[in-house]
Amino acid sequence: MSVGLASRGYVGQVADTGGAPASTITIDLITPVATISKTTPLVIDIYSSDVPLRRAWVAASYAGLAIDEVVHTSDRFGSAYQGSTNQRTTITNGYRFTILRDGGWPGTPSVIAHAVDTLGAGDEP
Amino acid sequence: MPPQGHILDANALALWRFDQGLPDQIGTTIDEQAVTWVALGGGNLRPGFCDYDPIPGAFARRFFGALTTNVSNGTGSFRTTSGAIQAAFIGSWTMEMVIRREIAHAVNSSPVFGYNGFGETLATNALGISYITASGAIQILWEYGLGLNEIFVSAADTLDIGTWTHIAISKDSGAKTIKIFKNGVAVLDTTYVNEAAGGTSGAMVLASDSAVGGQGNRANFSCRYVRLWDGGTSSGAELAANIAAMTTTGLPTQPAFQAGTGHGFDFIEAPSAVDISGNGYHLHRGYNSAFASDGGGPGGLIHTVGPSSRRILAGGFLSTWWSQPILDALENDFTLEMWVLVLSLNRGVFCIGDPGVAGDDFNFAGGVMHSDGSVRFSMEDTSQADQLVESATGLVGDHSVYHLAFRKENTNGGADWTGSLFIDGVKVKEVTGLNPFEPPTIPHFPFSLGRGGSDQPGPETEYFFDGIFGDTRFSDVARSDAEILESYTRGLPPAAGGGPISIDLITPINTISKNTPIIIDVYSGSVPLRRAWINASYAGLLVDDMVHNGDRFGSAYQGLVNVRSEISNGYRFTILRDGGWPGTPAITAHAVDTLGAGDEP
Repeated sequence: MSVGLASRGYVGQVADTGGAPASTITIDLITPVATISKTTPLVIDIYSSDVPLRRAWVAASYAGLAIDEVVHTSDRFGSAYQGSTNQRTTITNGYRFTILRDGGWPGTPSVIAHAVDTLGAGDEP
Repeated sequence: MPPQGHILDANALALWRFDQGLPDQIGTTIDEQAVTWVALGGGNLRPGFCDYDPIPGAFARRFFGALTTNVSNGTGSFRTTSGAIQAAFIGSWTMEMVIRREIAHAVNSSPVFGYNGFGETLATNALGISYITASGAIQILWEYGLGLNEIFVSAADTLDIGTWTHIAISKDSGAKTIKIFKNGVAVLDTTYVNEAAGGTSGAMVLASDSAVGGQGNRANFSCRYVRLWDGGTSSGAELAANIAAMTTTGLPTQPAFQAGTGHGFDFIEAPSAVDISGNGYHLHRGYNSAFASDGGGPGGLIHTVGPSSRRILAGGFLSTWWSQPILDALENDFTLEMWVLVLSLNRGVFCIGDPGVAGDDFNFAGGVMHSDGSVRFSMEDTSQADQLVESATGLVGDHSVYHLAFRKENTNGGADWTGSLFIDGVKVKEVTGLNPFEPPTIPHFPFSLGRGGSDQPGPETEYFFDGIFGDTRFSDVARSDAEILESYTRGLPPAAGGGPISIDLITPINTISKNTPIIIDVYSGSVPLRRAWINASYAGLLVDDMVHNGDRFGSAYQGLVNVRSEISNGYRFTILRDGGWPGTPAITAHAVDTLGAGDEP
């Protein structure tokens, strides 16, 4: 049994400087987009399997609008998401985003979220 | 910060990560580039190990123990069998040092370095020894015939107390000259008659003349750089570059060893990734008390793998000189904590004890990782029976990093003691009622890291540690379970490696026109980026544009001018909103690198 840091990828860091982090990022769309009304908040959970997130950010786009909006920059909510419904709360190793565009959804949103954790693991495949 | 115990004295032992600062930050990280020796002294220049010399950015070390180039059995000390170094001392050699004389001596008893024999009947093994005299002169001598000496002395005050001085001592066996340079200026230039006699044993030593097991006479000076090469130097001009380098940035090049086989050694501060093999050794940034074999043994001790790194390989070890404070702690309470990367099992990690005494060969030894994956330490009692604290099997494996802690706590007024073993902060064994410890009776046997004890300090490979040491601390208190756990926790790698993240706005916003692209560089100072993303907003527009989300450009940034190109450890974004900027953009960029460092303050 190895009880050292090898199980956490640290020996990899020692041995070859830059071994891939072992943690994984999960992005769960808790609220099905297909079921929402104009004023239904969307809930998205973003979290790492092992360690806290370094940053998570969310954008949204809408059919017919030639723009991708910033929903959350990882520091703050975007200009169009200033209503009190919009919240980012802490969950284990991540965040729960509750979002609703100011004035309601102008159409069915396409939400894009990304995150990187404190070991440097990202959500990309 | 929890109590750390007392820093003992210059003889005491601590292995700090130098670039993490002193006590408040110990135990932060272990990796191959994290180790150095710094034994914190109380200002006493007694023979011991080393002291920290806080020259900003210099990482200088002072050391007061002797350094030798090899170990062997025999007399409880260290000696080299390096024929190359021995031959150099018989022939031509040059020793350069940046040295600071610390105190005045009443007698000429402060040896600087030497190649000297011991344990032989014929006193013809002093192949070159230098001393600091009572007047601050450098005295160099060697022996020939039946111990007759060639003795040379530089001008007085060659070494001023408290002043760093570059000295070079050069012996040219062709021209039969002996020269001593102070800061490149000859303070002695003369000829000699008799060549040094060839001895059959000896030790290349720093800060000791090695006369009695290498421990009879020791020095009181500080030393920042040392270089030995096997050739004579004809003039001070030849030393100019070295002097400049040694006193500013360190040694720029590998010494010009005549045979080109790597004989000799450096003791340097400057990064110099040098592969060493065979004879000699390199001591980087003041790493000291390093003992390497000369090729006939189990392998060199110091294997440099980077500018500020080392690894301890089988066959070598680090060693203090005899330390009463350490022995006092062993008799009472102590905690020994260390990070180790174990490369193979069944190796010793530390020991202290009497060499060559039957049944009493090592009084305290431990960290031995048996092939069954157990960890142990033992302390001899007055009947020479081992009092053993041994973990269950299967707790450790090779090629893994562990935080090990060994704790002794006297109980019942010292009538017995309790021994505890910890792995990664978790207590894995505790034994109570152990018989009192019997300290070594030969006082100058050193406390060693990197070997697990044997009856001789020779290269018995089965006892030598094969791995890498990280932060190591010896405390003269029995640290609590919680403190040991914290030591482990604090020693974990930082939450964010890598970084720092830089975000450079290459194009000044206030100079752009409606159609001027903006260039932004986003990069890590150390490793590739995991993601970088950019947003833009405009006064009067209640929307934030997603310019690039880490995967792609946003819908409003689809023009061909928008490009993300790779730069070192990052990206250059060239951006222009489709149709031109609707107003002065306020741009926000973020990034996280592949070790998890982000751009946040």
